[in-house]
Parts: sequence; C-alpha cells; structure tokens
Amino acid sequence: MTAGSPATPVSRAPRSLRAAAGLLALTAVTAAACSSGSTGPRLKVTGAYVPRPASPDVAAAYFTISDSGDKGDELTGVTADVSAQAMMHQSTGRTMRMVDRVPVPAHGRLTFAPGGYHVMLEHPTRSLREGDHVRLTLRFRRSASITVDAPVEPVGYRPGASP
Amino acid sequence: MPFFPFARRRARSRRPARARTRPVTVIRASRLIAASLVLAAAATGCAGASNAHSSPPVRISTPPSDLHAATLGTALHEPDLTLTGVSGKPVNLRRATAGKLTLVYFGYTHCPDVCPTTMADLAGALRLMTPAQRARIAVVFITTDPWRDTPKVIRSWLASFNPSFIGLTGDYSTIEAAAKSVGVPLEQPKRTGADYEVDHGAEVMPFGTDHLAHVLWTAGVSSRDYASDLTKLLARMPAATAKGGGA
Repeated sequence: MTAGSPATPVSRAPRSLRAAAGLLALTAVTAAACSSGSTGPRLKVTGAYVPRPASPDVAAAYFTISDSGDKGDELTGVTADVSAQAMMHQSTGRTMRMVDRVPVPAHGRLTFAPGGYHVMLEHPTRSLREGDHVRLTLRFRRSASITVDAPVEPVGYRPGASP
Repeated sequence: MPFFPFARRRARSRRPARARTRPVTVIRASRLIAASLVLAAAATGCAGASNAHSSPPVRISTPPSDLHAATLGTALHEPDLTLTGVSGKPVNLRRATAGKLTLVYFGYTHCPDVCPTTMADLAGALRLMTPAQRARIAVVFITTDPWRDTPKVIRSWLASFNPSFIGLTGDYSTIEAAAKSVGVPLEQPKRTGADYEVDHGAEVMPFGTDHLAHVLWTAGVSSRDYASDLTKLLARMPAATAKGGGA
C-alpha cells in the first residue's frame, strides 16, 4: 500500500521521462517549454489524492496547484482515467455548484480540499481501493496540462490528520 | 417503502438556481491526447493577462466558548421521528438513541465531498475516544435522498465509516419536516431531466439525553476537535444510567 506517498507529478522531473510513455512525455515537454519563460505561470501540482469512496457511484479528487511564476493561470478542467464524468465543484453551505474555471494566483496556490473545491468523479469505472492510483489530467488556460497519479487514500482522508 | 417514484438513479452535479445554467461538460478520456496537443500548441506562448477572480473555498468557522461548536441561542429539539433503519425496519430516533449523546447529520450517499468527509471526521473522532465514551455516543445519518438511499445503500455506505452508525431513510416530506424543525432547510429536490439534485446539511447536532441540542458544529471540524468537544459534552451529561425506553 502506498498511502502517504506523494502524488507523482508526471509532467515535471525530466528524469522520469524515460519511464513515462507517449502522452505523458508530451505533456512533460510542453510543460517544460512553458515554464522556461520568466513571465508566465509556473505550475506544480502536489498532494493529489482520492479518498476511497464510500459510495460505489461517486468519488472525489483533491490536490494543490502552486504557481511560482509571475502570472496567474486558470484551471479549466480535470479529466480522470476512472470516470467519463469528472466535474469541478465547489461546496457551499448545503449545496455544491459546478465551476468552469478556477484561478491559480501568481506566486500563490489553489487548493482543492474537502469542504471547498473538489473534482467529482461520477460512476468510477473500477472500484477504488487504498493503494490504487487515479490518473488525473489538469487543463489550464495558459499552461500545458499536467498529469498526476493520485493515490487512493483511506475513506475521509485529510492530509496531515492522523485518525 | 414509500419512496417517491420519479427518480431515475443517476448521480449528477448540483446546479442550484443561482448558478449558471449550462450543459454539463463531459470530457471523454479518449480526447485526452487531442486536448494535450491543442494545449501544447497554445502553451508555447505562455502569454496573456491574468484577471481571473473568484471566491476561495467557503469555510465557516465560529469557535465560541471552550468548544469548537457554535452555541445556539435557542436549543434545538431532537425530532421525535420514526423512519426506516438500515435493516428495513422502523426506527424511532429518540428510542434508538436513548441515554446517549446523539449526533444527527442530514446528508446523502451520492454526495462526493461534504457528506463522506463529515461522517469520516465523526468516525475518526470516535476512534480517538475510549470505548466507554464511545458507548455513550450515537451517530445518526438521515438521508436527504430517500429515492437512491435505500436501507441497503445506506448500510453499505455507513459501513465504510463505522458500522455502528445509525442510518435512516423514508418518506421525503417527513425527513424534510424533521430537518426544517432543527434549522436545516432543504431545498425541494430539483429535477433536471432524468436527474435530480438534493441538499445536504451543513451541520452536526448533538442532542443530549434531554433531547435538546445547545450547540452545533458546522461542517469542516476535524476529528480531533470533535473528540475534544464530545469529551466535554459527555462530561456535562448525566452518567449513563441507561434510561431504557427513551422518549
């Protein structure tokens, strides 16, 4: 079981290119091209995870996007390899609403976390167990998309919380 | 079981009236490569002004007194409610939880974010407490989506958190009235084609053996904070002289 292991930011870390194939290599290359500019957004995705869903019909994905660049960006969509319907949501009070785009501030971060922003994964195509991974691809308005493998963590997992 | 007949079983995002109405965007995995190519081309410039703005995630937190719960000006009365339990048999809320500190939450199992997180936070809190303390606490999940949340579905869902949690389902208007009576106004489920949308509660209410709640937690409380508060609430409660029969 790999609980606790960080999400693997596939599109960073040139050394991993040897192991990455096809699509992953492509996104890595484009991300590198983008982040070499000094004025653009420089995005990094960390801490991605999917709590093991209690329902067989719906799961959620969370992550943090940090931008060390001088320009902000916008997250415009997320796809997942376990769901044809991945939607960005924001929980507000007793409801949640779908969101089209979420800003990533320059020299700042955007966090998807329980009770706030989340990616809803409807009708997962396989049962998700701890130790599995869900491949998420995040698309941005300016930057190249970034693909990460989000580990499936225990149900109700919160980063940093012990129980 | 008197479930409403209209629901087709399909989870769907919530799009309340105030949110923009637009077709749901479905991105197929098979388009990933094409999307990457397009973005690759678009990204080479890395230019453009950033004027994005939108509100950050909503987090409600009002830490009063010595608890992480909010103190209520007027106590809430535990609904005297009989619904269907996970075994399919009628369960009276007050009788099933007699003598216990009873934590009530309204939610639904197709809820991706707040509902499972809240139940997991409560389950985590109980794990932090002693068996003797746990024996004095009941956690009750009342569904706001009785159409999909059959006893079987709820039992399976709750088992992921703590199989001792009590799950209740039944007639929606009964559930809605009970929720309203404790200050949880549920919007009428909205149908969007074959789908529908329901609300969940934003609060967890602890009812004492007197069937009153004087505080409540809004969603987003950590297990540690729940456990701390529950320990204090138990200390204020009359010792478990198990008053069989309850209400």
